Amino acid sequence: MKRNKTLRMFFTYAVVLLWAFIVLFPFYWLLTTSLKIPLAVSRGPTYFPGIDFTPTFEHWVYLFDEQRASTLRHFRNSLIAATGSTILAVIIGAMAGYGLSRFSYYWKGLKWRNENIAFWIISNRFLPPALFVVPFLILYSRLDLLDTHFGLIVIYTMFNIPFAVWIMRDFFNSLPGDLEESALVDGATRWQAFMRIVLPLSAPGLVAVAIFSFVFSWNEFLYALMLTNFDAITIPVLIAGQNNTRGVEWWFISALTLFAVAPVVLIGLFLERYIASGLLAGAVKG
Amino acid sequence: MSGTREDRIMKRVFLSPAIAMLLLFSIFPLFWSLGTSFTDIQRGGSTTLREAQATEDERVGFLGLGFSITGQNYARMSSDSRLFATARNTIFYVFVGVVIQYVIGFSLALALNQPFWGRNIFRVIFLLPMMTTPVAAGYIGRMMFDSVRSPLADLIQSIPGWFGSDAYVTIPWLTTGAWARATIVLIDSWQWIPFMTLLLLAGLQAVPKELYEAAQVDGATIWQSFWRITFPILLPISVTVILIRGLEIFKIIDIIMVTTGGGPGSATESLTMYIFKTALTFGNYAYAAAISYVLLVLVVVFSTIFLSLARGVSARATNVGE
Amino acid sequence: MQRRRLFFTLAVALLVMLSTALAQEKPFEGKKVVVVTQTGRSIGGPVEDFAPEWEAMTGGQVELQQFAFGELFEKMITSFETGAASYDVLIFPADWAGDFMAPGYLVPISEEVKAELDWNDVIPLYGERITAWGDTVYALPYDGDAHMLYYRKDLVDNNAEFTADFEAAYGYPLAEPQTWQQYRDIAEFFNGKVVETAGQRAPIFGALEAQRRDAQSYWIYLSRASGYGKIPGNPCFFFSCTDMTPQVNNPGWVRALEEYIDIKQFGDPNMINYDVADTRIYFPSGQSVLNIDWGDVGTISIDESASVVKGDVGFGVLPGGEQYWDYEQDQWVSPESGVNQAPFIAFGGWIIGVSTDSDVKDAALDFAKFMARPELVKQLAVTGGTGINPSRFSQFEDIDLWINAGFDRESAEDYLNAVLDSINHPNAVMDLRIRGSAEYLQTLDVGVSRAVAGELSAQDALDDVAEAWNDITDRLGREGQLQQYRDAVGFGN
Repeated sequence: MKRNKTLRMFFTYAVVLLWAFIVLFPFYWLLTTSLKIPLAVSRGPTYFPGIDFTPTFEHWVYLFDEQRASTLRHFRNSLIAATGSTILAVIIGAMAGYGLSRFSYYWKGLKWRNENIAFWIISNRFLPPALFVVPFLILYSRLDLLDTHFGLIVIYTMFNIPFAVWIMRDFFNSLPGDLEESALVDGATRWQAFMRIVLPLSAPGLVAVAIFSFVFSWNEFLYALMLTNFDAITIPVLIAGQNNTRGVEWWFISALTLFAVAPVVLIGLFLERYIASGLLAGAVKG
Repeated sequence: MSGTREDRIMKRVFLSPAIAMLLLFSIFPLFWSLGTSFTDIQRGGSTTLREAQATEDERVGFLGLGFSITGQNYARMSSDSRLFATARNTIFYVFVGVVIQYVIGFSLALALNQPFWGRNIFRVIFLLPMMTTPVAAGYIGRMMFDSVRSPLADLIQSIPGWFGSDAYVTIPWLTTGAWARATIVLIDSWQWIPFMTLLLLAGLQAVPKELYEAAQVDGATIWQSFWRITFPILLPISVTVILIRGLEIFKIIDIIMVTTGGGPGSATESLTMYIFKTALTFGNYAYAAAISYVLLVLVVVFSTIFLSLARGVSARATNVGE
Repeated sequence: MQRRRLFFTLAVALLVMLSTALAQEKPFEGKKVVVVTQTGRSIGGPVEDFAPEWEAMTGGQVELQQFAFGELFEKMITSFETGAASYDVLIFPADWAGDFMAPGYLVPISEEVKAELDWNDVIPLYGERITAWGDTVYALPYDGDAHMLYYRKDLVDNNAEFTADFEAAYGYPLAEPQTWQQYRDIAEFFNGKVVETAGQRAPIFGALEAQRRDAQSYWIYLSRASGYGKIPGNPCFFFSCTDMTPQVNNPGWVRALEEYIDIKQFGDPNMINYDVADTRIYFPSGQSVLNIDWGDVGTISIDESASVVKGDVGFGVLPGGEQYWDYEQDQWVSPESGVNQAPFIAFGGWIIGVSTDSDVKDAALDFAKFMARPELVKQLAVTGGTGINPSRFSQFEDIDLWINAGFDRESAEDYLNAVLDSINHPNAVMDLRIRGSAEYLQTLDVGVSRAVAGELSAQDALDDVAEAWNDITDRLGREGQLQQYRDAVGFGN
């Protein structure tokens, strides 16, 4: 039994370390690339700053000093769009997920029940996004929503809702109804039971939905490109723009990618505790 | 659930915001696309209008709206070889991608579900790729899978040396058809395995520990308790993540535009990229809309079949498990 | 460094202008001009640098919006079409003229404006054709562009070791290639040879050519096709001017494609995935003997942070075919000179237009003039990284300008001659400029790419393209397209 456990530990560490290397190495590469002069990139791989190439901070200086206003504007816009749509998607998604999990619906006209409704919700993610861009452009230019934070938040929320609903519905399905039932018996309203009992218990699910929504909105490219110009333009558009007729400017792409990933990682670090605790989810079953 | 008056109201309150939001912003694009797919509308005026201009004809098309109603967009699809090539590529991405991502994602979730020192750090590290924008992931992929100048190429070129050979080995990661398709799946997997891991891990944490303890008392091996307990309990969430990833890969575009631009030849272009080109570069909105609609129908049919199959399997597995 | 020097000159200029401007009132106080172009320092950089000067002078405000080159066309055209346009000044590649000028999205340029900008100094190709649609000029010249040949002259021109070997192997002397056949021989000869580059000995590739799909590579192919498919004296190259029959699958074009595929074996194994954007990084870093590109490589090659071959680069007009296919006579013709040179004026350069939807047309036009004024573009053309190439006579005449920028005299002359010979060539081929040119060329791109990847033979791939071109022509209306093509190439004038 002891030996078995050691073997299992060894195996776990081997898998985890190998994957960590696969994940981290590209980021190390981004870091070194952002410190190389163009020639050091195009003459073939070099690995260690100061050993096989001389590091330079000129690209970082360019992006965060000379281009500071522009870089920070993209960053701030991404932050607003992602935060706004994450909050909306989590709230709306959790509510709808709860509804679909705890009540039975029947839409007479369409003869739709819960399953059909849920499927319709997810089917909103089916249509190829490239085609939706054109009607959205028309719609947004009429509604004056082009190049606004609000416009981006709305469309990202719309994209995030289907997943939010699905993930939350699964989560609520796996939560036994006993606790809220007893709260209802004790005289709490349905809304109170939802807010005070169900939501705290589903923290891992909510955090997963939030991370996912945030990441999606943070990284979305196509709609940000077509629906924004200046005031609301986001980071992915800036990154993609480093490929111009001058060549692919790997050093800028590298620096910007690292910069763009930083806040998401911070959020991940912060929320990780909630996923990791596992206490909440465990307590239900316990 | 009970049907109290409060609940009858509340159930609408819970669902309405989502429905309203989706309806509000999907109805116009959906109808616009459907309508357009039956016309000859394109950039800078319909075919009808252009012919009228060139021949100084008085024709103004359907109801004087300046375009004609036609089924030719749907007819054209049957002979569009570029469409078939992109469909083949997309199906490859979806199936191979989902399998790789699910298997590796599940393994990593299992590993992370063990208690070990540094687990929390690894959990965050593993999420990193998912947090980079797909455009950047594509660029990272190009740097890593360069046949000559990448660290990977360095490694591969040094391999013959270990055996005393001085052969010059390069792998055509992104430069021949089959390799390029596979490499794109690898890049996409690198980025999205964390998504699988995250959700499956959340699912794993909800599995009651007593079930394993009971199984251990019964003398089940790790392997057996995985198949009898873990896998069946995770089936519903598995179905969801597989469906979500499948649908997402179905729409893959950013990574391909950055890495291969759809080449070499027609080896890696995806359906979404073809629609993007048709609609926004060529300005042939009508044809792009027609393709999208056929796809929509196919995807809905396919997803329905997948879901009902999955539901069947999952019901059986749960029975076996208990 | 160069940028700093530029800033200094500008600061002085600025002071002079300020003092005069202060006397006048500011005409565009409170007006905001939105300028749109591609991302990065290239093309957009000068706007960034000089807008403050204009703002100080006129009281107007400039907002620069930049998008990746790959999506710039989609971005501009959809905003015109959906009425979402909020752009006042557009700096865009000239080959989008058919989609921007023909539908009337741009403001025509008046004679007064032309006079102000010293239009006589503009090379006629740019001033009368590339910035114009039909007889009307719709844009200001900013940049010039033609494909040209780059080669390592330290290896090809004066290297005793290689000269003897080459002549022994191929039976003629090693020199700047005049025909595509010679180009191929040189690529074959050098590929894999260990040569000295910037003091290091390393194996070198024969040729670097962009072959990536969905990029700018099909222009490289067209540069070959023009040598084999352009008939001297007949301006109609892509289509016949009688009935819009695509020429893309005639034997001249097919041979060009076969050779474009053949060159793959003498280049970097990644070549099929390289865009021009990549080759112009790797050629200056000393990894190949031959390269086909726009004029940009000239200024990149003297930029020491990106180039190890400064002073070692030879410049030339594109090679030609030793024969060409005459589709009217249905036969191969060998020109007396031994080579059918037909430089391809690919892309046509970045030009500046003012949107008809603009609410601040006066201010927009004023800013456009400010950016396109002769003194400024002259300075920009010699500054590495601006992406601006010469388009005015004055830029070619002032050789000191180029020497100050870092060229040695011989290289500067060589470079300017190569560019000038290309754009002044009587047999030069203009890019395809008709409605839907994006779709025609994209279709060609896919066909070429499939042949390069070995999915189809060159003939089959181009037959497919011809068929697709006919479909596009029919969809857009054959009569109208034919008329546009005739106008675009100046047929019958």
